Amino acid sequence: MGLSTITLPRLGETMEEAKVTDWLVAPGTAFQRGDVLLEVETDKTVVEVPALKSGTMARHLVAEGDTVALGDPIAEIETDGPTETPQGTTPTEAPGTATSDAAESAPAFSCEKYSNPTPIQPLTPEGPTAASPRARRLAKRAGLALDGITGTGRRGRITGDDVEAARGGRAAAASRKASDRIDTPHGAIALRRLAPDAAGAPVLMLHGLFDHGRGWRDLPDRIAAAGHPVLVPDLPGHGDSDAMETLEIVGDALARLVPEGPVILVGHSLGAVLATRIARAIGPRALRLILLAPAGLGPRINADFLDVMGHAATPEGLARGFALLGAGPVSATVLDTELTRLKATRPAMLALSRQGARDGVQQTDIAPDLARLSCPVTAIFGLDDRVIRWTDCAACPPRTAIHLIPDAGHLPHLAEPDLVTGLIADPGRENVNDLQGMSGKAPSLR
Amino acid sequence: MNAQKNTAPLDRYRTMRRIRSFEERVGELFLRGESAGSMLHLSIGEEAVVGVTDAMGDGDTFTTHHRGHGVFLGRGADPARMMAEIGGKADGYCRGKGGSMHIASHALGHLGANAIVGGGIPHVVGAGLTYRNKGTGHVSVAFFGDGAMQQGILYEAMNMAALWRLPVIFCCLNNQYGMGTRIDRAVGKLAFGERAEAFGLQAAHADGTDVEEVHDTAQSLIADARGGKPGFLEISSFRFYGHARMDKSPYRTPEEEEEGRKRDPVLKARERLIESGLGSDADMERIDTKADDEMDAALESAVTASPPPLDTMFEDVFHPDSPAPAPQRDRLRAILTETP
Amino acid sequence: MTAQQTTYREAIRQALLDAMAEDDDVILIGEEVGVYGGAYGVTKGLIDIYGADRVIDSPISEAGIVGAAVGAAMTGLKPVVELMYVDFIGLVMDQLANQAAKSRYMFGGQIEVPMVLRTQGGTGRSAAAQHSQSLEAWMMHTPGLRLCMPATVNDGYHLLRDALRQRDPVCFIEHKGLYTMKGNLDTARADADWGQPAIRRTGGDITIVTYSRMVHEALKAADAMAEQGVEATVIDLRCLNPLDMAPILASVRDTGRAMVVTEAALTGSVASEIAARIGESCFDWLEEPVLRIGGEDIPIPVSPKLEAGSIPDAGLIAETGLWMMRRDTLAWA
Repeated sequence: MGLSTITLPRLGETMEEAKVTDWLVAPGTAFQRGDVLLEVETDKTVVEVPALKSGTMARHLVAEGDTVALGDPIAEIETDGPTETPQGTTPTEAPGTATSDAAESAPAFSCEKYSNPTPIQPLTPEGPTAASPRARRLAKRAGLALDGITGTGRRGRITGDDVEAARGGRAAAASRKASDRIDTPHGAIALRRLAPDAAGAPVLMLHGLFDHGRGWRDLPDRIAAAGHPVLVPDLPGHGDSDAMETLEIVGDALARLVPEGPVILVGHSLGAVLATRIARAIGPRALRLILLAPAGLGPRINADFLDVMGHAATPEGLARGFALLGAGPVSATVLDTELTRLKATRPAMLALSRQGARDGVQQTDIAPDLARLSCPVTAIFGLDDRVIRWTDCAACPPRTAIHLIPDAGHLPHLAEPDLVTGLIADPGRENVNDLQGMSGKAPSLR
Repeated sequence: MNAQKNTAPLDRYRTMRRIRSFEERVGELFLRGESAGSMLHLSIGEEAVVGVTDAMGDGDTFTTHHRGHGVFLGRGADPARMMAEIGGKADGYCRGKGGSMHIASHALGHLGANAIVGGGIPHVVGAGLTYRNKGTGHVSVAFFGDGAMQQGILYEAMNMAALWRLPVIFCCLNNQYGMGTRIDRAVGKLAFGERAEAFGLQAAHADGTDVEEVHDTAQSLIADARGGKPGFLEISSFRFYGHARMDKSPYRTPEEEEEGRKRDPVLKARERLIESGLGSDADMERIDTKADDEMDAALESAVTASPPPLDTMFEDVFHPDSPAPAPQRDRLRAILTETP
Repeated sequence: MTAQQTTYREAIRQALLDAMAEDDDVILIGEEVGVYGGAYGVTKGLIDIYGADRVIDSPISEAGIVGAAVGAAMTGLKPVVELMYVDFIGLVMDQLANQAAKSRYMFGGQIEVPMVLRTQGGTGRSAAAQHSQSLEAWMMHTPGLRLCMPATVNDGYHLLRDALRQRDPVCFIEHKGLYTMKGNLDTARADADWGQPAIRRTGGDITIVTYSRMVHEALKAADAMAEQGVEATVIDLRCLNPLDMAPILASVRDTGRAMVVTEAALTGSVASEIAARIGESCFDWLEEPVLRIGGEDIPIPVSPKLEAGSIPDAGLIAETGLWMMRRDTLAWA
C-alpha cells in the first residue's frame, strides 16, 4: 500500500478553482476506481470527481465549502502499489499511466525507420475540452456537458464510451440523491432530495410552467450547501412526473410532499402560485415564502411566450422562447435536449398553461392569499422580465419584501444566485433590500 | 451516244459545295452567339477531302481531327444534327456533350473527332485489327493535319499497321499550317510520303484543289489497304481562314492569303464540270442554291433546338447498366441532413 | 473444376484462358505477351492455344498499343492490353485518359470502349523508381475509367472475369509481389460482387480499409493487435471504381476508428480519397481522426532496405492501431 495525493483536476475549460460542495467518501472508507469521491462546484456547475484507481480514503485535505485552486492537493489516499509520488487526477496526465508491461508485450515488429523521434507534445491543459466527435454526439443526445466527464481516451480525450459511462454514472448519482417517485392519489411525482440530513428547515422548490426540476441549475445545491435539506420535484405534467388535470389537483399533490414541521417554500412563476396555495394550506408551518417572478399578481402575461413554449417545433422556435425568458446564450445542445423534453410532456403542460392564462390574461390571483399569510413573504422580480412585468409587484401586500434585479429577466434567481440563495437560506438578510434600497436607482412604476 | 453519264463528279461537287456552305454557317452560328464555345475549326479550302470519303465504302470507319466537319459531311452526316451538336443541343450527334471537336456517329462509322493532335490515329490500327481478325473486308481511315505528322503516336501507329498488314489508311490533310506555324517552320524535311514509305506503307500525294485526282489516288490506296497493304495519302491544300473561328491569322500576310485562296477546290471543280459538259451554269446555280438553303435550314434548326436536360450530364460516363456517378448535391444533402 | 489451390499468377492466367475460350472477340495485345509469355509469366502458353492473331506481340509502343486497343474495342473486339509496368502509364495517359475514358461520354453514348488494361505495380523487387510505383490514383482521378486491384488469388480470377464483362474501359492492376502467392481459387464463386469491397476480417475496435498487397499487411497487423486485445475489421476495397462505400461506412460507424492504408505515395492518394469520404459521412461516429498510412512521398529507392522502409508494413499499421486504442505507446515516437 502506498500513500498518494489527489489534486484538483481540470473539470471545465474555463475552470481555475472550485468549491468543494460534498465529500462522498469519508476518511477510512474504501472506494473503487470510478467511484465519485467528492463533488465540487465550478463557475458553471456542480461536477463529480471520480477516483482514477481503487483505494482507501486516508485524509481529506480540504473541507466542504473550501475553495480550491486547480492542481491543489485535496486528499490523501491509500492505493495498492509501491508508488509514493503524488498522483494527480488530471486527465491530461492519464496516458502516462500506460504501464511498461504493455510496451514490452508490444508486437515484435522492428520500427527502426525513424531514427530521430520527435517528442510528443502533451495536450495543453488550457485548450478546449478534447472529445471525439462521437463523444460530442452522445453527450448532446444525453444532454450532458463534456466539462464534467473524465476522458479515458488517447491522451485524455473524452471518448464516446466515457460519455456512456458518465450517463450511467449520472443516473446512478441521481439515484444516490434519491430522485424518487412519490406516489400521490393523483399520480406519481418525481422528487429530488438534496442534503436530507442537513440541520436547517427543509426547502421545497416549485419551478414554473414548461420547466422541470433541473431548470433550477445549481440553486438547490447552493441551498443544500447552506445547510438546508432541499426538495425539488418535477411539477405534475413536467419532467418525469405524471400528468394531472387541474391546478387544484396539482397543488394538492404537491402539498403531500411537504415534510412534517416548518418548511421554506420557494416558487417560480406558476410555481409561485402553487407555493402560495401550499403556504395557505399548511398555515403556521410555512416558515418563509419566496416568490420568484411570480404569476398571479397581475392580469398580463406574454401570450407570445406561452405560445412559443407550447408549440415550438424546432430548436430555432424554442430559442425565441428562451430569449423571452432572458435565459442568456443557450447552446444548440441545450435547445435540442429541452425541445425533446418539452415535446414529451407538452399536452399536460398545455392543459395547465390554459388554466394559468388565456389569451394573454392570467386566470389566477394570489394577492388575497398572500394578504392572509402570517409568514414573511419575499418577492423577487427581474426588471427586464418580458414574460410577467415587474410592475406586478405593486399588487403584493404591504409587508412583502420586494427585490428588483436590474438586467434580469424572468429567471432572476439565475441572474443573482448568491442573493437568492441568501434570501432563501439566510433570513437575516431578507429584509435588508427593499424597493428603495435595492439598486440605488429606483425605477418608476409604469 | 447513249452511254450513261458519270454523275459521281457532280455528286462530289455537290458535297463540296455543301461543306463550304455548312462551314460558312458555322461561322454565322458563332457570330449569333449560338455556338457552344469558339473552338470551331473550319475546313474551307480543304473540301477536296470528298475525294477520299467518296472512295470509302459502307461499313468503313474513320477518325478525324480538329478540322473534320468536311470529312463527316462527306461520309453522309446530317448537317442539322451536326449544327445542333456544334450548338451544344440535345438533338446533336453526341447529345450536346462533344461539340465540334468531338463529333462522332457510330452508325456512319465515325469513330470520333479528336482534339488531341494525333489522338485518333492509333484507333484505326485497332479497327484494322478487328477487320483483319473478323475478316470483314472493311478499311479504316485516319484523317489528320500536317501538325500530327510531328506526333510520335503517328509513327507507332504506322509501324503497327505495316507490321500487321492492316486495312488502314493514314490521310494527312496538309493545309500548310499547324495552328499558327507554317509547315516549313515545323519540320526539317517536307517529304511526308518518304516518312510513311520508311515504315513500309504505300505512300501517295494528291493536289487538294483537284477533287478528282484526290479521288482516284484514294481509290487505289484504299483498294490496296483492303488487301492488307496499308497506305498513306497526303493531300495538299490551303486553309482559307484562321486556325479557329477567333483566329484572324496575324501570322500570314494578306498577299499570302489572297494567293492561297486562289487555290479553291470548289471553284475549280465547278469550272471543270461546266467545261466537261457534265453540268450547265444553271445546273451549278441550282446545286449551289440548294446547298445554301439546306444549310440555312440546318442553322435555323440548331438555333431553335433545345439544350440537353441538366441531369443528362451524368449519363454516358459508363454503360447505362453500370453504376453512374452521383450528383454531388445529393451527397452533400445526405451528409448535411442526417440526424445522428 | 471449381475449388483448387493455385497462385495469383495462375488465377489471372486462368481467367484469360477461360475468357478467350468463351469469346472469340477477346484478344491479348502487349509487349512480350506471346512468345515470351509475359514479363511476369501471366500469359505463358496462351499464344500456342489461341494463335498470334489473338495473342499479339506488340512493338515497344505503349501509347500505340493502348490506342490500337481503343480502336479495336470501338469496332467490336474485346482487347486486353498488357502494360508491362504501371510506371509506363505516363506514355499511355493520353490514350487512356483522353481517348478510352472519354469516348463514350464525348460521343454521347454512341461509341463504347470495352477494353481491359492489365498492368502491375508495387514494390518488393528492388525494381527502383520507374518500375515499382503504385499509380492507381492517376486512374481513379479520371472519370470514365473503372479500376480494380486484386489482393487474393480468387479475386485475381474473378475481378478479371468481371472486368471483361464490363462495357467500359477497366484498369486492372496486379501486384508484382503477389504473383507467387498461393491461395484458394473457386472459379464458381467470387469473394464479392463487382464494385463491392470484401470484409476480410471482422473486429469491433477499429476499421482498416486497404487494397492490393496491403490487405495482407493489414491482416498480419490485425493478428498482432488481437494479441493486445484490439480487434480490427479489415476491408479489402477490390474495386476502386465502382466502389460501394456503404459497407465501409457501416463498419466505421460501428468501430468509431478508421485507418486507410495504401502502398502508394500518400499525398493525393486513393487513401486520401477514401479517408475523406469516411470523414464526410462518419464524422459524428468517430472516436479518432481518420488516419491515412501510405508510402513516403519519395521516389522508390532501389536499396532493399530503403525500399522496404518507405512503404507501410504490419508493424506500422499495428502500432498505429494500438495507439489509436490507447493500448500502447508508439515504439518509434
